[in-house]
Amino acid sequence: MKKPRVFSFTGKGGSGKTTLASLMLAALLRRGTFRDILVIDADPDANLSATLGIPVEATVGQAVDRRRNELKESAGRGRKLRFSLWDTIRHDRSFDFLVMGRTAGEGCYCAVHSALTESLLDTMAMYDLVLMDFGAGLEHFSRRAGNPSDTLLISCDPSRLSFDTARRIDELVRELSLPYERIFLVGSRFPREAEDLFYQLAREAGIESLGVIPADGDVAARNLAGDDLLSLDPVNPALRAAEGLLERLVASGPAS
Amino acid sequence: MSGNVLRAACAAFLSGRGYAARTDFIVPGTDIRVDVAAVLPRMRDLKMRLKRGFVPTGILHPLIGAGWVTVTEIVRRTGYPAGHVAAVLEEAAGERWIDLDFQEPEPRCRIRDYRPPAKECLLAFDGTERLAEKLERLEALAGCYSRAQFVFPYDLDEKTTETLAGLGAGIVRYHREHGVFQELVPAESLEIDDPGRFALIVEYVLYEHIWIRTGEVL
Repeated sequence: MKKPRVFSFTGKGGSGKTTLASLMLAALLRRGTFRDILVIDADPDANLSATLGIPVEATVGQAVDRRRNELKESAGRGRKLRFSLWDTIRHDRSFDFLVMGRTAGEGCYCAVHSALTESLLDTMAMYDLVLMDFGAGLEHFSRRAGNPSDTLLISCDPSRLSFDTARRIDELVRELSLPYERIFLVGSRFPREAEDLFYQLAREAGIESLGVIPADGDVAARNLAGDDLLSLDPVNPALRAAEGLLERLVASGPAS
Repeated sequence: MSGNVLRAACAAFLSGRGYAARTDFIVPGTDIRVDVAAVLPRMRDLKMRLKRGFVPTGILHPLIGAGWVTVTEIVRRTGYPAGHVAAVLEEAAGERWIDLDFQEPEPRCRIRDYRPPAKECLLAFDGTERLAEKLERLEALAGCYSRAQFVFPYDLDEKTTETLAGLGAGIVRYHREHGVFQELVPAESLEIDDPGRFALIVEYVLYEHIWIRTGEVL
């Protein structure tokens, strides 16, 4: 079976996972290996759209709310969840973008969520590559959201707390036997002089390190201004570093 | 176990993995029967068809990857009456699938930015009956599928295993009592050399499949 490759991004809040996901996407688009790419913002506090420069028009959470209300009020009439999910996918020139968002109502959503999970897995199968940006924290792992996934990238900024979170994520993934084939630690915003420390802390955490995205003034300025990261200068050091990480990921990945 | 059961189980297995599957599929324009044809759709192209309608590939497939083609040639290649071909072409031009050029001495047309709506076409065969004949069918379809596999509800002998593996076909052992399809020999991934017929298969299978999806309650 031709499974899509799935790269998921996680880490402590503010550790740079959304920036990392955006830089990896920029590197992927430059590389051109994958034809159909779906980017999923699975963070309830969705902000990947800003770093990709795509306004959010609709979310899956809104579609779920709408469908649940339709089912309550009109005996099933209305747009089916699968097609609403497809409508929510925004088509950019070179990739597709889906924002999960969150539901607003109260009460039981089990049936709708169950249908959503199935539709989402079918939808992911239609792509060559799926990038998934998770929210901070560990709860989505417990809910087993976003599986299956071949590669989990844990972003760590230069703080001890960030490595503690990475260690807890790694432990939780193993405890729950989540089907990640590979887990990597990525250093985000590390000054050059602290890179050795990153590799040392990664070893202590017992997680394989993929590499480091250096601290970069242009990336920081764009994040501050709310500008996108897909139009970075091709020689930008952070983008070049992301290209290097991608090279390693794709070269060492499971056969698709 | 009957071939019917094996084919249905195989189609259900593939459907559960995101494929749109069809049992006993007769490749349009031929009398070649495939036990299970399964296609893995591409989102953008599928959505485009839901908005604009499916591409009438029964008529348009000679245009795929071919540039300008005369209407006479389309009539010859498809075997449909000229009046029907003309009507379909006119409609396809209205839906922006093709460009029509009424040049002298005869009109011609070309397909616009066509991309098949699937990234893979997998052909699966029940290997328990008329295996040699099915291998011939597969050979006749060369270039228009991505992978092929033969399914057996029992262990295969070495000679048959070598024959199938030598052809690049996958071998799947179906464990009926456990409902498991065990991939013993992975199918070789093949290049599509006949994009017209590939498109024909995937458009037909998806067209039939998508309307089932619209019947979902949730």
